Amino acid sequence: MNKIDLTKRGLPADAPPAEVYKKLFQPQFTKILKQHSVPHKEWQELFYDVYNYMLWYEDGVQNLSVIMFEQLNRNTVETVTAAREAIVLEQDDELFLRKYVATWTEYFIISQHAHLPFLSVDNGLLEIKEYADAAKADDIHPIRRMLMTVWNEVVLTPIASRLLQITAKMLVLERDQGLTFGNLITGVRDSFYHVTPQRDFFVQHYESVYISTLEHYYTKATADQFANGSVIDYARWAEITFRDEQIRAKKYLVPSVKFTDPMKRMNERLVEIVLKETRILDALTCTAFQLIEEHRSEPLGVIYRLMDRIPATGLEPLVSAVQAHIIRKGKDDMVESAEIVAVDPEKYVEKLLNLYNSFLILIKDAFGDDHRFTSVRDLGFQEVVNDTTVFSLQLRGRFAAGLESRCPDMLASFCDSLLRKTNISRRLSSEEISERLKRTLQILKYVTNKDVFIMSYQITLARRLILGLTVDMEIEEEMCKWLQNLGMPAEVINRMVRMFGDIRVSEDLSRRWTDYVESKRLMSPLGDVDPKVLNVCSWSRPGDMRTSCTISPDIEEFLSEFERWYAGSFQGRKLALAGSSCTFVLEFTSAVGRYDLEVTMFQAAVLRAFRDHNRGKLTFEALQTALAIPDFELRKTLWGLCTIAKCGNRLMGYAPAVSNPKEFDQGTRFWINMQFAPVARGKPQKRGRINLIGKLQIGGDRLLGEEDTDGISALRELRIQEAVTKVMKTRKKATMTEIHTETIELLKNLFMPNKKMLKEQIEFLIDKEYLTRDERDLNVFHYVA
Amino acid sequence: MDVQLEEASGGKSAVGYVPMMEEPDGDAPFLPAASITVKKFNPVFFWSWDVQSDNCAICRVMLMEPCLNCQVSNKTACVVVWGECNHAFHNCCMSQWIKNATATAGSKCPLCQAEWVIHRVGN
Repeated sequence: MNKIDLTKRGLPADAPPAEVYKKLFQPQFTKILKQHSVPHKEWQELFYDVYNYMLWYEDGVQNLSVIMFEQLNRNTVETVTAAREAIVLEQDDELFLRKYVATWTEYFIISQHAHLPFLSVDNGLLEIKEYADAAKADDIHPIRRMLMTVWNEVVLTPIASRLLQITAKMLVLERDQGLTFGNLITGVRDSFYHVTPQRDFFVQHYESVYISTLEHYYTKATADQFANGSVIDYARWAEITFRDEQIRAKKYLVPSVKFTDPMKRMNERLVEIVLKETRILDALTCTAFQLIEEHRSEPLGVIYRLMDRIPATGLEPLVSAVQAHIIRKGKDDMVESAEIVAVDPEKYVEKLLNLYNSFLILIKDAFGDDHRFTSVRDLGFQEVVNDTTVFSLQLRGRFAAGLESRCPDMLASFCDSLLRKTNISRRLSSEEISERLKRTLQILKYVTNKDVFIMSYQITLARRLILGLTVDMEIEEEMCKWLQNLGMPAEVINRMVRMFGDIRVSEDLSRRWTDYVESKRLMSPLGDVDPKVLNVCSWSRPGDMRTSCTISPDIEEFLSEFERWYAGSFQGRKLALAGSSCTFVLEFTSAVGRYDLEVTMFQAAVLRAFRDHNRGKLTFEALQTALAIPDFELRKTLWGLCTIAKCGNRLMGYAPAVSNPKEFDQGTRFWINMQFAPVARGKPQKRGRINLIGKLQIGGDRLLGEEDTDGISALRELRIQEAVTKVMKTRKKATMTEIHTETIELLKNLFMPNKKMLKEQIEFLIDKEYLTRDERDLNVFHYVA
Repeated sequence: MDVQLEEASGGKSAVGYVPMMEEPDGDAPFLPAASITVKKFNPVFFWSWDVQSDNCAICRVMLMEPCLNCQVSNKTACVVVWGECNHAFHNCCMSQWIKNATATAGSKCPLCQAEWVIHRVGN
């Protein structure tokens, strides 16, 4: 590239740079600034000339750059001053603003291009430290920055206060009357943002005016709204305000996506004005409390969203109020209906489910399932479910843990009533039953002593299967899976699965027995016999005594026949009759009619004793000697037969009167009520089937008996030992606290081990030499392999 | 026999017919033998292996329950085996025991060290 021949452009060959600028560059640059059209050719020539001149200049490109820069600056100041003069001529505020914004917008667009031909000047300047440093803090090059600075100094600063005043006025108009001055205000915003790389300038001038306008406007508006309407109306207004101001600020307060702090500050200010004032905040909180009580989700949601805007602690009062509400409401409900609920598991569970659902809905609708609320919901509900004020269960045993809620037991009874053939389950389809069971399990999740539940559940399951009372085997097995998913111990689940298998095997066996009996044409005085043979391990539980009684000859005969047959089919097995699980159907003819009685083996023995002895009346002593039923069982059986009214009727009478079975003495006399008849619609019936088993074993004795609770504490001790050994086996050495936390972790699906119990069990393990105490630190334990 | 039949007087409550026989004077049988007969009998038996000790000496689990391996793999059909010495083990445990032991000491009952001869297998 050849050097420009200056002489050809009407300049002496050694013309100083300023001269060259004036002659060669100034006309085009001024044209550009003034927005006159610059022909394509001239525009390209300008690029070429600047580049060429800078390239061939011999006295140091940096000096030349500075000179050129000064010239450009002077040139710009002249042009821009003229522009300012034109703007300030406008008297009318709006016209003034319009003129300013229009001029600024044009200037800003030009500023993005005008410096381009002078790229070599920019580069030259950047080699000078002073400019290079300034450019580092900036994202644009020196000449472009110069254009902005000039605008700031020449135009913006002199008229800034008037501009901002008008803008503020417009913002008020916009809020009051909904007029919009969109582009005008954004124009002002942009000019304040772009004229300097210092963000403070924007913050101190534009933003502070914006925010003080906001403050001024809303301090008044807030007071008005608060005084003239209900708190809920106020909350609604505030919500709309926040939304509107958010949109407005996004438009007017955020000049660039990289600079969103003003938005944050605006929000903080608005929260302070609209929400944080004490009397407003108090009113909102109070109203929210009331809304929680009334379960009015929609307005509560409004307040929740408002409070959520208050940083850090805003929601705390609401959260704790919700928790307190759940606990109080739950307990109150239970205490209120304690009488109905305490004896009736269905009502209890129904009530719990309703409560739970209402909380669920409240938290979903009002708080959009915000995790802070769902977690207190769970905490609160947990407390309700495990509350001991209404129903409690005293666990006995060496390491009694004190009172526990009866809830799990009730839940198990409820499951039983759904899965057993009852009036409740009969009315429901299998889908409805599954649905209810699932909801029950939902509550079970909150229960801490789940082992009580599973114990109860196992017992009721065994009863259902043995007595053939199951409504739907599929649901039973499904339920088993659900329990497994809930984290119930595998061995219990396995045992239940084995029960199902056992029952199926036994049904098959029963069929084969029937075939056998038919083929042999055996006639039995015992009517139809449907034997069940079950694996002792899956069915009996700790503390299950095999109760026996004198076996009448006809049964004896059957037993020996059956055992012979059984031994023929299997090897190495022995059989034991489970007296307390056997049942009979007796046909009883009273003076009124003939009835089928479903009874237990003991009940049958008592009733048949009158026939076998050919007596109308028998004493306790006579029955005892004849039947050899254990004293406790006999009393229970007799008491049941004499007192439990089925269809308004009792099967037996006794004298003299006593108040509980323990008071029967040797001489108490018993007789069968020959006038027995079930009553329906006020009339005695001639025929009927009456179940005395359900009433005795399941109905009357539904809740956990004492033996069962003993079993539970014994089981808990073993579980703790197991867990501690497990922990120690992996850790080898651990402190009391470590053992405690890890044991809890292991056992939390079953129950909450308390420290006392844990210490006792650790002592036990030390006695058995599984663990030792550290010699120096009593709180540290070692595992002994 | 005097049977009192009264209609219910008020609603569903069990007031109506309250048939309770007074205590009879003597103990003469008023119950004809046929008035109680058995129509159906549902006996329930528990079966267990006919063994002297409840636990399997090899896996330490109750003989009535499946052995440890079977419990883990969830197999239910885990039977018991008796030797000539009348000691009983899980069949799975014992066959494993024999498999491990033959190389060194020959197959012996882990309890009495008698030569292990299967007497019978439960089913």
